[in-house]
Amino acid sequence: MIARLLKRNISAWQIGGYAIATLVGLTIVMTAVQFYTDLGSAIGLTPPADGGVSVVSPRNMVISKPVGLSSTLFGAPGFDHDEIADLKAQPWVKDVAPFQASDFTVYCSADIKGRELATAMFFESVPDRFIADDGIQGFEFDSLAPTVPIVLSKEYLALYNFGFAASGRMPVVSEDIISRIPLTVVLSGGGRYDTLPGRIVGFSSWLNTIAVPQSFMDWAHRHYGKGRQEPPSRLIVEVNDASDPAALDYMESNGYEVAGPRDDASRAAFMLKMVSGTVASVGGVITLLALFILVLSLFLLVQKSRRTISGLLMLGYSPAQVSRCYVTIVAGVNAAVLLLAAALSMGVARLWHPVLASLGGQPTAPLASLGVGLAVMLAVTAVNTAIIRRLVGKCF
Amino acid sequence: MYTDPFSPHIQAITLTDVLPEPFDNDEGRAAVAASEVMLAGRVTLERGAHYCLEASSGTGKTSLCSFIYGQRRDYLGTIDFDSRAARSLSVADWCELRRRHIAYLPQELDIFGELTAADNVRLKNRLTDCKTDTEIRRMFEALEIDNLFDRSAARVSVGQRQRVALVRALCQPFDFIILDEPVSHLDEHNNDLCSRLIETEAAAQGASVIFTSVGNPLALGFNYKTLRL
Repeated sequence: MIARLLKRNISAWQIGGYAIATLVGLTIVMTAVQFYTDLGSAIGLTPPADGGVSVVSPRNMVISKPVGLSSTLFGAPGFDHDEIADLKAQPWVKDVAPFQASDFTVYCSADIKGRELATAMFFESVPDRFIADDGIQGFEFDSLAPTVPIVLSKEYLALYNFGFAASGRMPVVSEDIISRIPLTVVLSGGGRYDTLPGRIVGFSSWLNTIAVPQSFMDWAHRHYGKGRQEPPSRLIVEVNDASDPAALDYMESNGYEVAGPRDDASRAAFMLKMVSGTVASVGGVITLLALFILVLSLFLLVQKSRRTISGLLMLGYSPAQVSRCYVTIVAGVNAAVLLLAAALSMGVARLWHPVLASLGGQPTAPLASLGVGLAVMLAVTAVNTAIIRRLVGKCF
Repeated sequence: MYTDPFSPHIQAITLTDVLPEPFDNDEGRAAVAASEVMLAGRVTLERGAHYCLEASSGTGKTSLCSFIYGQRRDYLGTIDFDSRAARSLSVADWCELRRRHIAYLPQELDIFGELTAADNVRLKNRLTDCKTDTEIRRMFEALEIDNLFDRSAARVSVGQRQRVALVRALCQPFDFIILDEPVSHLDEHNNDLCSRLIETEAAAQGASVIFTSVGNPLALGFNYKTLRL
C-alpha cells in the first residue's frame, strides 16, 4: 500500500538513465580489472590461473656488470659489499642474493641412447627459495646419500636441441626425457676426486645458469674447495613491484646489465598497470556521475512526494519504513546492473582470449572483477540508502 | 530493541506558556492576552477528562494541535507528556506516540486520493493492528458511509472524507484523541453519529477527547471543560 502511494512519482526515465549510466561505468571498471588479472597473470605480474609458474618471473631480476677488456685480463667483475648494501637500501628492493660460483672442477657425463656425452662444466648456487618459488620439486641435497640435483636454464636445453642436436649427430630430448637420464658428476679439487650420481630436476626460465642446492655447494666447498672467496659476479634482485620503472633506472645509471626478459616484462607490466588503471578510472568516474544523477532524481522524487511522505509519517510510519520502498527499488536496480555488468564484462573479456593464448597465458577466473563490482555496488547502494533515509527523515 | 517510553499510558499533557512563534510579537501577545491556554502558565490536560478548545479562526488552534502531535516545533514554552519534554523525543518516540498514545484527526484530513476509503483506514490499521476488517466496516456503517467502503477516496465529498478520516483516527490505541474541528463539514445528524462513535471508543480505552471548535462543537455526550484559546 505504501509502495502504491510512493511509486506514483517515480520516473522510469530517471531510474532507467541511472541504470544505464551505472551499467556502462561498472562494466568498464570490471572489464579493466579482468583485463589486468588476465594479462597480469600472463606476464607474471599477478599469480597465474593454474597456480603454476608464470611465463616470466619479473619479480626476480638477475644483474651483472658488463664484461670488458679488463675483465678478460683480471677476471669477471664482481659486486663488492658497498654496492650490494646500496642495492639493498633501495626502496623497491625486497632482497638481494648472490650467485655463488663453484670453487672446484666439475666434469659431467651422460649416456644418451648409447652415445656418451661428456663435458667440463660449472655449478652455481642461489638461495633455495628462489628455486622453490619456481615450483621445482626434489631440489635437496643429502650428504649421507649424495646425489646432485641440478636445475638447468631452459635456454641451455633449447641451445642443445635446436643447435647441437639439430646438426644431426645427437637425438633431440624433451624436458621430461632429460630429467630421467642419469648423470655422472665428477668433482675434483683440494686434492680429492669423487664421482657422484646427478639428476636434472627442473628447468628455469629466468635463471641463466646450472644451479645446484646451496647445501650441496657448501658441502662441496668444504671437500674440494681451494678456499678462495671471490666477490659474486651476478646477483638476484627480488623487487616488490615488478612494474616499478625505478628499478630499471637504477640499473641503467649504475651500468649494471639485466639478464633475460625482465626488461620487457617490466615495461609491459608498467604499461598494463597504466592502461588498466586509466580505463578503470574512466569507469569509476562514469559510475560516480551516475550516482549524482540518482541523487538528483532522489531529491526531486522526495520533493514531489513530500505530501505523501509526511502524511505517512503523521500516521506513525517511521522514516525507515517509508524509505524501505525506495531503498528496495534502488537496491533491485543496483543488483540487476551488477549482474548485467558482470555478464557484459565477461563477454568483452572473450575478445582478448586469443591474444592471451598467443602470449601463453590463460583466462583467470573473474573473481577479482566480480569482487570489485560487488564492492562498488555495495558502496553505491549504501550511499543511496543513506541519502534516501536522510531525505525522508527531513520530511519528519 | 525499542521500548515504549510512555508505557502503559500517558496520564497528562502539560502545556507551559506555549506560544506559536509567529505570535511572538506585541500584536500576537495582545491577541492571546485573554487565552486560557496560550501563555497561561501551566495548563494540564488529564487522561480521562475531556476538553473543548474554543476560539475563532486564526488564533492558533491547529498550530497547537500540531505542536502536541509533533508535526511542528515552532513554539515557545514547553509541552510535556507526563515527565517527558516533547522537544526531547526522538523520531522513534514520536512514531510510538502516534501509534499507541495520541490519535489525531487533522483539519486537512490528509486522506490519500490514490487509495480507496477502506485502504486509507487500513493504512493506519496495518501499523497498529487494532481492528479487524469487519470492525472497520462496522464503523463505516455507524457513520452511514459503508457505501463508500471500496470507493476511491478521490471521489468522495469533503464531509464523507471527514468521516473516513475519523474512522482512521480511531484505528489505534490512544490515551488522548485530538480532533481538529471534527464536524466542520457535517450536519447535526452526522455530528451525533460521529459523537456516539467517539464516545464509545474513548470510553473503551479510558481516553481523553480533546476537540477544537469555532462555534460548531462536537455533540459529545461526556462532560467536558471548555478552554478559550
